[in-house]
Amino acid sequence: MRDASGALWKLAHTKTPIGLVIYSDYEQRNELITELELLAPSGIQVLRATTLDEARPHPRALVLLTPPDEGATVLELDGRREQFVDRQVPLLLFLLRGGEGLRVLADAPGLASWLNGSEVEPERLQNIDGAAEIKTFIERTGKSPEAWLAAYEAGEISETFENILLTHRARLLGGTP
Amino acid sequence: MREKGTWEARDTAIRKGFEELGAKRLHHGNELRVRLKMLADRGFCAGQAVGWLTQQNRDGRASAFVFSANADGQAGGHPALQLNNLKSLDEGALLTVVVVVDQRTTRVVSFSIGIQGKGRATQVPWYARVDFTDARAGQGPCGHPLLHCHVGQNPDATGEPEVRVPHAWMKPAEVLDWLLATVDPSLEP
Repeated sequence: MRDASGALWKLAHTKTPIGLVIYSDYEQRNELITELELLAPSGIQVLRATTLDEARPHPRALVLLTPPDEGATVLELDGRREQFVDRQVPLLLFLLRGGEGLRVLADAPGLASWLNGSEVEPERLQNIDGAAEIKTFIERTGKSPEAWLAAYEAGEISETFENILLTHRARLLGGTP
Repeated sequence: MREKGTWEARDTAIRKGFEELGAKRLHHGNELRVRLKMLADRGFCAGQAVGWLTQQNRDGRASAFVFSANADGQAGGHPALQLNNLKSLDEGALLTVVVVVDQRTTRVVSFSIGIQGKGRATQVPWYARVDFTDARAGQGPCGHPLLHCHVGQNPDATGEPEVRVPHAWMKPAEVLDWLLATVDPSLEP
């Protein structure tokens, strides 16, 4: 199973100077910032910043960089890479999926290559393969998620630990919540 | 006349609680991670615990917060978090978490949060698990309240009777608070 939080945890604990977090909307970005503040190594300062100049004096802090102009910041970072190579704790740059920052990054092969392997797109990792998961559910229980839920709601399924976990799985895989 | 209406009113209050909660757009995963970080910082679990609680999304409709396969415990073959240094449970107690929410609104759809282990002094198996589903199941609201707790020795038992202790409405993170304070008074919020 792919694991977004595990990938973010590794990114926050890596020695890589700069990492990339790709978000899908501003609400998700805020949630990811909170999550990364919780995932940060114990005893490490976490700093929210919007410019590279704010981040520069803090090589031992986990910097969460959310620039208002992502494209301009990627260009600036491409030109100032050498100022950030000695970071002890990563600077994590947040870029919007499909946004200007990623478009500019695609035209900056040096920087893109430098970031290769240090990028996480949580939403892509969080999405499960619904069809495959339903197939697995049916093979395991002999019922579709909807049929399982109907049997549960009719009181036909005892609430053992295993069965209640399957019920929640059915909720995830079934129709509209 | 037995007072069925009283029990229906309790379920109605619970429904009101989770519907009001659903309007607040809470990130239940991060609320749980705050508790996991506190547990890790105080030495009750591994430091990686916060990163082991992961999110699974289904087609933009529903999300589940569960421990990933990387977590350091297994309960009935499912990923769980090992808890240590608890006052009332022996080392290696297991925390299990499943929270299903509407991905669009963050409204809670269902959850189960439980702890199982052995009494530190007695070595007797013990478990408690709080279950919530937003749909009525089985018996009526007295025998099967929407939010209830199973307590006993074997979480896999199918024995009779099935006991469901009614709870007032609590959101998932508050359920975790309650369970933790039950197994160690120093974890009282």
